[in-house]
Amino acid sequence: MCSKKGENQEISFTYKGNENVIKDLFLDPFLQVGSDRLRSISQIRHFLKFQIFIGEGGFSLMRAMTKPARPENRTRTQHKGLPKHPVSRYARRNPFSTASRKSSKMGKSGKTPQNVRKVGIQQADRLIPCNSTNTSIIQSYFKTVHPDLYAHLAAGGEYHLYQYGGSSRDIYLVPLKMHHIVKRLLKTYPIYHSGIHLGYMRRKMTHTGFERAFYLSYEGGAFLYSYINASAPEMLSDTQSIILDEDGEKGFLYGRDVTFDDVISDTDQLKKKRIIFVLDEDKEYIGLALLMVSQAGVKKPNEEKPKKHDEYSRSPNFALRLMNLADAGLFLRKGA
Amino acid sequence: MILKPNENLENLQGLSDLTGYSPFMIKAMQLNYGDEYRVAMNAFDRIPIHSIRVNTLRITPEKLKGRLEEKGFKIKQAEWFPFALHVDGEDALVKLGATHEYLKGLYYNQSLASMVPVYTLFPLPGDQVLDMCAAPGSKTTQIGQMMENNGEIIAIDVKPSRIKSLVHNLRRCGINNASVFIQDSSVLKVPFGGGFTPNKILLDAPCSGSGILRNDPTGKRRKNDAEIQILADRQRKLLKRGLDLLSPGGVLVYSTCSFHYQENEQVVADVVLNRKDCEIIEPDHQIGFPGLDHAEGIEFGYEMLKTRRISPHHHDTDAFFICKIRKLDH
Repeated sequence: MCSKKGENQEISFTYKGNENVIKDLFLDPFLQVGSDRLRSISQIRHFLKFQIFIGEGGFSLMRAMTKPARPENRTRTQHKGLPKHPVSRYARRNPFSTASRKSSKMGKSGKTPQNVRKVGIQQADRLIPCNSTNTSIIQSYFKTVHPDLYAHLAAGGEYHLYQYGGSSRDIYLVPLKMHHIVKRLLKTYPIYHSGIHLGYMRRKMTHTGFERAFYLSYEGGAFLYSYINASAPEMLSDTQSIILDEDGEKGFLYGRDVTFDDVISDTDQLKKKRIIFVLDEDKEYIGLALLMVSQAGVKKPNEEKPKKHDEYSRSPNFALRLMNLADAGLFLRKGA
Repeated sequence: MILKPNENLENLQGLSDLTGYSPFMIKAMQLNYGDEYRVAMNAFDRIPIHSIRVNTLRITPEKLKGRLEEKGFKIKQAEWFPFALHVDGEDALVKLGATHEYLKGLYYNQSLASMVPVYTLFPLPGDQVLDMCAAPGSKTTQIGQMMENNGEIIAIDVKPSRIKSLVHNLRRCGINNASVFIQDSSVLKVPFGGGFTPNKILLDAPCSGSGILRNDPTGKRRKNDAEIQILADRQRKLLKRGLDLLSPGGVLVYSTCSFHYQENEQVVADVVLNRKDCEIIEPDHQIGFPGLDHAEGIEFGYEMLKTRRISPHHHDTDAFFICKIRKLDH
């Protein structure tokens, strides 16, 4: 068997002919494919041809051409080091063998494909600690609520981020006490939900294609709003919120966007790209919104001067709307 | 179960035709309610009174009452719990399960009897509570409410389809201290592990649902006890495992929404009375009447009088069975 450094892929050859000559060839440091388990002179010739004419690329071409070894004629006594159950071992080690392809796609019975996407909750899916990529995405998302919010939450050390490892990519904020239990229980039980459902990771379409993005859920918003009110009231002045009248609340809970006529609080200071907490007349949290700015007129390219009132997007060139991001009506629309 | 299909049931056919109950169910009513069985059958035929549990994590009962009355609901304070309200929604324009208040998680539609098991368990902030058959989450959310989101709840259910409802309700009601997973509770590892040593366990066992005939009248036509026997075996396994998992000095509440003694007193007697490490104790409240100490010639023991039965003809709500069990300290 020969292998190339830096790659996990391995190739098997069938051995025929003068072992010493072939050994010398393969142990040549220049070729760097040394192995004492050589199988086929013709394979080596092929390899050398490719190595000479194509250079390093020869190895990968060679690999693509290599057929799986036939270990059925080998026994443990004939060739030291051969596996006891060669087919299964080769299937595991040689990614190009047909046995390997079969085992990766088929179940134990050989009838049910394993890679078919299963519908619904699978018992094997469970929470896992949030990875660093997702954590940094969430961190930058929190800045849209308040620049210091994430740091404030993290400094307290009272919560830990988890993500669901199943088909959905839900993000959970697990309280510290719960985290100690969940961390250990995860070794035994597939925990499906824990703590506060903060939001979810989804693909987001951008100018350059799709990228991973975090979306705050209704409950996540409720938690953050209550957290800011209770633990960080100094942030309230720099946190955006609007209060809706009764009609506005009704429409919002039906999943509609907010119209400015329904907002009874001041909207002049609302900034774009910042999360807005939506409250009802009793100042109870009912959801999340975002100030969307769509360009009504034609913007000049390479404009040097910043647009007047651009920070708040109040230029007449822009059309404004308050987009519904999450609302309590979700529980009715989704159904329990 | 002594009663077999079509045994001594011929003479009940007339009553069956009159009431819509199968002869088997009439016989079961006779066994469980004695002389009061006709009153009980009549009570099961009444239209259920809608009741809600106010989510005190988010609103006070007084405030919610005012807000629902503005929408045309007639609200009356329920007798047992300060957080329970009776609601008459005949004149209301919207359904009780579609109001903005419901969506905001300010209340949960739950029958009065269904609130009793958790009230009997009485979880407090800081407790570690295990809900062995949690879905769809009415009692789990009540546990979270009583714990004021402080402490740990592990909620388990065996059916993935029902787990979604459970999580949905936990999220809607703002319960932040619960962890959920899919598992058959009867095969949970002992000890539980992960530093979770439940001092309170709720086992609202899967049952035949004969106590909720007001909401699900299809149970009236049950023909035999084949399913009841299977359920009773399962309930025994669950109760046994629940008691194994309970920490010493802890409390387990076993409940069903069934009036069949085979799923209630007999299960408890079979499991608890054969163990030396636990005892049945009286609930701290006066809701319900004592359970049966014998039925069909089977003696369950004097201890069964410490269990509680809630009956529709006495309490005008669903039929429930509740038993409080304490694990001894030694």
